[in-house]
Amino acid sequence: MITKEKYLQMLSDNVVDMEDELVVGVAQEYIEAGYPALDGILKGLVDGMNRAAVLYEEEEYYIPELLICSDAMYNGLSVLRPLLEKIDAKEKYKVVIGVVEGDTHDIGKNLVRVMLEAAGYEVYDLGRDVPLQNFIDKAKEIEADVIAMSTLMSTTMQGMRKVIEKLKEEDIRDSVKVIIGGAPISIAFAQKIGADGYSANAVEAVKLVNNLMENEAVELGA
Amino acid sequence: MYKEDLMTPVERAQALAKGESVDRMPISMFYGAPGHSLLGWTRRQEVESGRSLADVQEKIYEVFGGDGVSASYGLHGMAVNYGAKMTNPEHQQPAILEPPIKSIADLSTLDLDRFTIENDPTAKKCFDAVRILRDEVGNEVTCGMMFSGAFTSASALVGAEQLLKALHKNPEQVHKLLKFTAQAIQQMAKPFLEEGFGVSIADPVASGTIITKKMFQQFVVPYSRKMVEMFEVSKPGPVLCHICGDTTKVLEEMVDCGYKVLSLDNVVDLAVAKEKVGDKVFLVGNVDPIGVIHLGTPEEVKMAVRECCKKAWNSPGGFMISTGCDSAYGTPMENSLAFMQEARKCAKYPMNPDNFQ
Repeated sequence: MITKEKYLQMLSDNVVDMEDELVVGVAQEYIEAGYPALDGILKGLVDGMNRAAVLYEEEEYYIPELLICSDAMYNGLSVLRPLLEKIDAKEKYKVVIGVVEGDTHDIGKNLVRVMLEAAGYEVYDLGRDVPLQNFIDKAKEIEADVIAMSTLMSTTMQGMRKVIEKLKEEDIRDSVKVIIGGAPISIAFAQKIGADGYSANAVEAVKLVNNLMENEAVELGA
Repeated sequence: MYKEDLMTPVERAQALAKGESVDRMPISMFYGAPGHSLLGWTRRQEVESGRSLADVQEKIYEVFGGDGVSASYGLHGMAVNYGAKMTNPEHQQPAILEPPIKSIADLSTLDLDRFTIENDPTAKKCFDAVRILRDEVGNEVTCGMMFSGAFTSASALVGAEQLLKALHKNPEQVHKLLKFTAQAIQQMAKPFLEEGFGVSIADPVASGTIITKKMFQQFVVPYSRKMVEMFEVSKPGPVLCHICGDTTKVLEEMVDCGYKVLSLDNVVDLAVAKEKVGDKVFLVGNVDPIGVIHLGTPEEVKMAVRECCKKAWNSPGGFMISTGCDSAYGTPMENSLAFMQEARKCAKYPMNPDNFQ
């Protein structure tokens, strides 16, 4: 009989080793053996994605590898998630994410989403070519903690500025952190348009949001 | 001739080739995305015909006086030919909404006959444009043609995400696809080369920011090398390559591709590039077109031009000041003019540190 620890290791390995097909069978066996879905997700799949992130930082993995790891994680999740025991998890921070209007390049945004999910955030993905008002509407609707915007194209960068302006107009700028990223984006641009943060890649994005949310907690507690 | 120059780009190039002195070294600025705005046009007007493409290039030359004009097949050219669903914005660059080949597992629709000057509408327009440019301004300035690389063209056909995953999951099909795109590009480039137009390659999806060095060696080098070898048979001019993003770790591999001129993105440190490959290739670059030229002040632009020159002016294989990538639509005119003004000053012959202290 395979122990739970062994299964968790296999799930984690499947993700980090880009076994996007094998992982499905392993996840099913894990459930059939009677182990809890939540652990399979957190200590198996998510652990694997976090290991992939480390490999990315070590420049062992690049975009193709992260894309396949992320497929493996989602394929595993599609087995485990429906069986998730109803538990009263503590409130998660909520992130609204999307590629701004005028741009359809979404590989980077998808990687940020998967990394944020792996880090325990509740992510609302608006997709690509997202009308600017949708970021605000969704943020209001779900009371988002973070709005994350991405673009690959220099021509659509200014949309990010407009979202921040709209947030001010609607008087909710202070209730949400805004982070931006994408090839033409720089920290200087983030400062210029009054965003709260910029990150150069998906792994950095998680650290950025962690930092912003920690500060948030400090502020709230103070 | 541009008002501040003493020689035309053609005279300058000829003199340099003979080892004679010139007024200044050649300078360059990518101005693809905003070009049409110089004529008060939309981008759609620009791409209507060879004539309109040439009109925009002539205007760019008139306004800035850089050392070359060109036509460009575009990063999505092969997808357009295959009937991809594209956006068609008025001023900004188009993007692929749906790549034309749904599954890389099925490449049965690949057809080389589509990619000839006669059958590929984008290549045809470019061919018309370079001939018009040669006839109308060719005595002053050299006209070149830019194609996208085999890897970027493959990405246009099957979509970047599918291509990148297949590097691991279906490498045989990727090789099959790359062999095809490389052949298609060679086929389209041939008539240009035969008429004496230099050919350059842009391969942004093969970026060091996107794929590992190992993948670059496996999937980019062999096909690029084949293409360059073929280009060089027709015309022994140096072939330029531009790859976006951080190519620091694949600079040697870019040289292995056979490229003789590397146009570097602004995220690459020219000092590092000079150190690593400066003795083997001619370097071009690399002022930040977004952070500095689009969003900065004329003074910041000039400072950035000087910084680049300081780093690379004495690169053994040669150096030309340029932008690190294409200029953005909406870039302030005073910044683009400041770039060219400072580039002229720094490139004054003979190029030396007094020019950019």
